Amino acid sequence: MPEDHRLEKRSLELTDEMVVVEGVETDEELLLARDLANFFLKTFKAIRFYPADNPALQGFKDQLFKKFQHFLNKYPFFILQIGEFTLSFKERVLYENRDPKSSLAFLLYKDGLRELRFTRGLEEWEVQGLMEVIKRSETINDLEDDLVTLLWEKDFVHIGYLATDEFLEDTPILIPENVEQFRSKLLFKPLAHNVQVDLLDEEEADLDQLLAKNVIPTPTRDKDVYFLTSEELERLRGEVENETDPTSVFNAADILFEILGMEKEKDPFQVTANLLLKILDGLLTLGEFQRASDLLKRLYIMIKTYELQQWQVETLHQLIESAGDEVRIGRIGRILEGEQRIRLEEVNEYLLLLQQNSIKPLIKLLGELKNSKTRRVVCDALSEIGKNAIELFTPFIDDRRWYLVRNIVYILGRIGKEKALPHLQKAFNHEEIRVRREAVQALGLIGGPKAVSLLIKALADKDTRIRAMAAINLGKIGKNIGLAALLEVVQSKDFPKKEPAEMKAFFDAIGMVGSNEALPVLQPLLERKSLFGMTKKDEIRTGVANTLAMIGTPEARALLEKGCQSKEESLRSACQQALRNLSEKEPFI
Amino acid sequence: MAERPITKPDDHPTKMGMDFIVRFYRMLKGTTIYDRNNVVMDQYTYDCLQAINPIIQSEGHLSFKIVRDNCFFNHTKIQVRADIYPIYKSFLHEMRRRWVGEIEFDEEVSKEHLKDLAFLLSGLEENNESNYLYVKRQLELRGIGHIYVDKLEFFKDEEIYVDSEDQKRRSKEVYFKSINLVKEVMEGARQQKIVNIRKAKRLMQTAINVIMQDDSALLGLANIKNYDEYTFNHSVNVAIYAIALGLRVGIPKKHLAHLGMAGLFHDIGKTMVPKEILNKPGKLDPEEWESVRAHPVVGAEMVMKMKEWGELSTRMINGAFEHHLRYDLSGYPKLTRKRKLSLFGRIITLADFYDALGRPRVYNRFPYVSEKILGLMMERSGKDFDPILVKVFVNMVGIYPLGTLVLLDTNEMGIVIQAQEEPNLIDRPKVNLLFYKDGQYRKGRVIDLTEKDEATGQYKWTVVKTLDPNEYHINVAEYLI
Repeated sequence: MPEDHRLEKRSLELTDEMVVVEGVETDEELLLARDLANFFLKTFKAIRFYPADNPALQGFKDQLFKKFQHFLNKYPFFILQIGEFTLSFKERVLYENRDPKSSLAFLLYKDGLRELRFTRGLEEWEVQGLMEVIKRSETINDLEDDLVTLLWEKDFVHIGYLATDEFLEDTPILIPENVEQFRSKLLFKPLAHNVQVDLLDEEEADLDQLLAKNVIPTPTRDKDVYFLTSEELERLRGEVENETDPTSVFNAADILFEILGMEKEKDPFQVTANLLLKILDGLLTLGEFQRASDLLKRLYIMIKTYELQQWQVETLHQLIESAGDEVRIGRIGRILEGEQRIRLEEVNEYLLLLQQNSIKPLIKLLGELKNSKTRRVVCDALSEIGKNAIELFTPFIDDRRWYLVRNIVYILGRIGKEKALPHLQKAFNHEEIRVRREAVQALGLIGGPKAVSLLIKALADKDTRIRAMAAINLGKIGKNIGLAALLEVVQSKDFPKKEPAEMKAFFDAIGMVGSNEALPVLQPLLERKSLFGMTKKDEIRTGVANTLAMIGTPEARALLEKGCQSKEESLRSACQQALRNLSEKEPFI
Repeated sequence: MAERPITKPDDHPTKMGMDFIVRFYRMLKGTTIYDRNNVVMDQYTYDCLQAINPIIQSEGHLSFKIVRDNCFFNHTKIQVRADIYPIYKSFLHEMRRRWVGEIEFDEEVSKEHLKDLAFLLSGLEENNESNYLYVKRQLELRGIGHIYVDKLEFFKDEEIYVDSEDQKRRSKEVYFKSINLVKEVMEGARQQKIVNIRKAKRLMQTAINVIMQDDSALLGLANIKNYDEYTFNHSVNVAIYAIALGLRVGIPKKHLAHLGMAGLFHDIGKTMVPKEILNKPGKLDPEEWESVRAHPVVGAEMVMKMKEWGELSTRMINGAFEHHLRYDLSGYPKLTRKRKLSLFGRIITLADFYDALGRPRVYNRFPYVSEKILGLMMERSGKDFDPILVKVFVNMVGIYPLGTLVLLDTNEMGIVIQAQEEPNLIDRPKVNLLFYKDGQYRKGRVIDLTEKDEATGQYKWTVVKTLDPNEYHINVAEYLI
């Protein structure tokens, strides 16, 4: 197969450690074993060489599996004997490398492995798993794990091994061979009282008495009490499944909270808090935001309801702050970008629990997130968290990423502090229309005379959409000052040249203010004979009539009713329609 | 990560496979008690046929193969259910002893041919690697071409130990090495030294390998209560009971190692309780008592310092923190919030209670007999202990747990050395008879209380009552090492 050749070539000078075995040519089993061992070595080297997701690596593993299958179809076992620096098959050395750093044999040997045995029926996941184990064994913490443990945990069916653990013993341990040796190590000194009582809930309980009254008569006829019912078996199975689920490790949080509630010493309190943070990290890594929020809420409750010392409160506060530091926010970003199934309302709940220290990293994240829905979640959270810290947002108004500026403007609007206005003014002049639009919206949310004056400026923006939006926002917050500006535009001679949507926005805005002060301007507009084409005039009339309906005062209504009597048909029909609309909206008395 | 594809106990092949094992094993056991034409034997064979022929009808063949600790039924690995576990284990044991690892049927089998196979298998010599050749030849001579047997694929020096002496030797090695190791690790942790967990893990793996093979040797050794320092000895016993119980409950191998570790170090917090308090012969004052009661919390904190957070450390924290909490959440430490205790924690609580009550105490240097302890556990089941786990535990150690001194209806005395795998024979364990000679008790032969008198059909021996070994100055552990 060409694939074969390619792999063989790519493995470069990997074969120089293979020892030439004399007489190989005459023994088919040995020949195949050598070929297999050779490829085993190549695959191992490839694993060291390539990153885990490299497709070439998969090629090696597939090929290795095929070679194993080929061998095991002919012979029931393949046994690789492991020497300190050699790998052998049937006492014939196939591989030798005496450099402890690079030797595959030494890597396997050092943890006590002496033989690897592959039997017929070997499955693909086992070959993959073995390679993973070998790779992992190079980087594990050798105070906790070793290659043999990793192999054992994999529980392969068709890969067996022989291992020795004698090297682990520093001093020989006496294993009693006979009763005398055994007796010599027995300690019959009576044990302390507490050993007895700590079995029971209360100190007072008398174990002797308790046991004395519980002598069960020798076996009961009713053995059914010892049998498990099918429901019990089912429950047991469910429990085992839950408990062995990798995420069950998060349940340790319950214990940690109990410990935090009891512990009065600084060091263990801190150790426990540190572990809780690790659990939080685990939850965030998996995108378990609901559980992460629960954890933070419990911390807040603890601070509020427990009788804690100041240093304890500080430690817990630190923990909460860490929940929103740069590292964690980065983690959240990764999961938000990478996972589709994350429930954004849960993310929002978590973010809302964070402290001000999370603002900077969250803004940074905002600059990196691509999905608009997730950005929205972050913005909403920042609007809450940042209520009293707008100074942390304002520097980003100058950011070169327009979308970030837009989000910042959005947040500032939500926070609604007048202090933000000078910064919004910058956004106001931003070349990107989406930023300007957001700024207009923000001004509408913030309100106040300064916002109004900025909105008035925006009525002259070069973009029709911005002008329309400014008008609407002015209508919302502008009151009389805003109204004057709106009316001025409406009266201008360029007004009839505007897009219908913009015109409508201006009329709606005036309607929203709902003041009779607009009437002296509106009336002539309604009644004026047009110098322009019929269409434009009709549009203005309709707009004005609707505005009067929106204003809704008796005076405004009177103007409409008067219009209904007009001989001019377009005026009449505009006023009639506006009144109809008005009566539809008014409740029936 | 490449992991084994998961199969569940209610998957079809597993169900059929377990059914096959239970019936085939019963038939095999029947051959040692009944003769070929006995009605009971007929029934057993008939039952077994019901598990074989329908599969051959639908699948065309039936194959059963043992690969290391696993059984494959028509090429699918069987997942064992908790209630079938003892039978499964014994069946594997019997097949291994005979060096037969594969049985295959290519066509439907007749009752007589199946009986032929059963009697051939049960009559095989133990530990003869050539047995399969003999069975093959015999089947051929009888013209049975559609039943095929093959040798066990097996490496003698692997973690499988066929021979019972070897098993015993390995068990002892694990047991005493573990005591030493617990001491080393606990002392190290107390002095805040960096602790090497790796060795403990390796030991627990060996313990699990041994227990998976046959738990009776290690459960027997758990009768030792006062070897070297109490806490260390007790810790090892708890680990053994926990692993054996976990295995029956169906906890996978990797997690059993964690359970073993959690058992081994559940009392690690005690190393921080001053020795004067731990060894104080009189009653403890409230302050001292407080210090003792803090050990679950201290233990959990020590684990946190000792180990990086992960699955293993979580289990160890569970074991340390929860082992004095009762099923109804009474006990200590007092909890502020209701929560379900972890399965591992509940297992360790049970193991801890059982072993702790069996140790010598202040006013009486001898322990309570297991029967009383089990009685107490049954009574407190549902309040102090998880009722399902209590059932599995009693099934595991038997109504007469290993090490129980019993009086038989033949007026003989003996020590229980092995429980029966069939739950309905829970009151008929294997017993090592004791006889009194030259001022001390000596070991006699081993009898099986399921044996019946052929003439009368009655059991040859029945337990009349349990005896307190202390009254007879017997330390049962000495008969079990």
